[in-house]
Amino acid sequence: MNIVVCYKSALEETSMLVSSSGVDATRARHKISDYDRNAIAAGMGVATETDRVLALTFGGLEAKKTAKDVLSRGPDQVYAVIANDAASADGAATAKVLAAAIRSIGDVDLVVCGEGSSDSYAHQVGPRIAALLSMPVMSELSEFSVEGTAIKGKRTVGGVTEFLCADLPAVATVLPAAAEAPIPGLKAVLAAGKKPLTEMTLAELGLDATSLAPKTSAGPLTAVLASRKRILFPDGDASSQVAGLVGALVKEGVLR
Amino acid sequence: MSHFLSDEQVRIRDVAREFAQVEVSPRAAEIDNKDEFPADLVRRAAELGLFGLMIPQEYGGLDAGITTTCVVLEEIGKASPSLAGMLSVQIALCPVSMNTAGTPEQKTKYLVPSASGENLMALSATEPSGMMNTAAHQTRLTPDGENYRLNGLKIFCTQGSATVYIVGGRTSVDGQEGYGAAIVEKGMPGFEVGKYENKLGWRGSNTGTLIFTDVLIPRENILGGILTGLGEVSGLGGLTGNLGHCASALGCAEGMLAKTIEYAKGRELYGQPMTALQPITYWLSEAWVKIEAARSLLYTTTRMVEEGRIDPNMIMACKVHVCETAFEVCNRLLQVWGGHGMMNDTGVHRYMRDARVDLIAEGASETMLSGIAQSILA
Repeated sequence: MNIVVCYKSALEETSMLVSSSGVDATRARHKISDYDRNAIAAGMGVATETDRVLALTFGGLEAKKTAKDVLSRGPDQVYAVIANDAASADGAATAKVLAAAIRSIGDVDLVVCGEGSSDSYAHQVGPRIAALLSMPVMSELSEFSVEGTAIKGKRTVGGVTEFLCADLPAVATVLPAAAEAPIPGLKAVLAAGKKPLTEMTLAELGLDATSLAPKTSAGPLTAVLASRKRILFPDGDASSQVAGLVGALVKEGVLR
Repeated sequence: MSHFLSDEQVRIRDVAREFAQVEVSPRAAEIDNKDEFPADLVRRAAELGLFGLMIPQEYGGLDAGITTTCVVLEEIGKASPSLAGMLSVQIALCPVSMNTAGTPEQKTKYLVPSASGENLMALSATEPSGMMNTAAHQTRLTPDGENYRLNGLKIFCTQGSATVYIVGGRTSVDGQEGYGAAIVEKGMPGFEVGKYENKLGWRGSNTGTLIFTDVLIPRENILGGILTGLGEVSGLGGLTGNLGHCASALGCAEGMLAKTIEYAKGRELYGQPMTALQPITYWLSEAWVKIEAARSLLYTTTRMVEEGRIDPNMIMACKVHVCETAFEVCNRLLQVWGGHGMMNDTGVHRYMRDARVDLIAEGASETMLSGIAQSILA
């Protein structure tokens, strides 16, 4: 069985500069998107020794920076579709590129995606890939397994748990609960350096820059900054001061 | 520093960083407070392959070199200098001593399980009379037929709960004074570990007293053969161990600075953030400068070692400068915390206490300075 795990090189939140004027991500580092770490672990978790697990990403040149990290987590190979203006791509465009890459890889039985990326968390890519490839999709899975030629999964929504089943080939989008993402060992880190990274271009996939034209757009990032209210309750006895404090907390929505 | 690291070293650093931040940091204060050996974290470090950093690949290790090893220990030191100190013994000191002096049989027997995490190693050199003055040591290796008997007492052994110990002892060779190192395994008849010390810093490291009463040491357990004249047991491992120790001290200072910056940014004094007070900014900046200078010295020296230019003076200079800097930085930054820094709940005074240990463990600063003096005044 060939398993493709899709992942995104996302911005590392702690390396962004946050100020009242907004978020400066120009010097931010890249990392594997948080939920995609779980997706990789989930893909590895259902793979048998004879299965091949292939990791697939789409992005600018930065997409290659996380490839070795991905490979140290188990996949046999990384495919990276590199495009200069990948940053402008929305979920629809990203799914179009990844679906084309999956067709190009060929003979894929299972596609695993994180439920959403840690920077936009739009939940778009996995279901859109499934639609483009005419595969069934099972989303928001907290557990999943492959049994014979079928995939079985568990989804909990609003206090109700569903147990789902679909024939392969299929797409699964997984929550962090589906598989804990372990820290890779050093031997795996060193072995990753010897695993292949295959770059692909849009042209090789029969796509061009117009394929990336976004159908949605986002405004500039704004930051939520903590600021002190500087509200004092100096008057009255302790009980009235506490009442004032509680009233202020309710007003701010901290307490209900 | 990351400018000089290879991609591979950066990825290894990232593994150590994630381990330190996700698994070590939440446990660090507890290790210090309870003074309990963190067997779970030591086991995790072994699972991640850290034990094999300095062990040759033919014995199951990674042979990653002392620079990479120090990068790893520095990351762990940021979260728990105590754990980094313990791991330095396991990673940078003992296996190098064993690999340098050991026979192929000894390496196969002891390094392979060390790389896989089955062996926890310790090297014990200190006696009640001190560490460096081996002439005053009372522990003796006495010939017994083809084998030896070990009698004596070692104190302040980091990792008293190890499974394999390298232990130095005086002996005689054809009537002349000699020195040897015995490989002692846990459970050997006559070997027992006394009480664990209640210490200022490096708490949880099970610093113990080793008691040897007529312990039969098979000839094949003599490490590197019997030396004529007084010697010491660590060899090259003593030097790489010192560098690992420095990395843990450097991480200690960095961990303290990071916590202090976070605290200063969130703390208000006189109606303004503490970071608006110029003396505070100077203290933080000075700490940063001192840390970077110490880092530069440390990694210059690790590179020299990897290039085969092993200069004991440089390593002793590192031990003095990096460890003294770490204590100076931690002690000064504790002042930023005021009374909060004295409290167990904030948990930052452990950095200062751990850094204080670094000025003594594995060779006090003055011992290092004496060694340098002997060289530059010769």
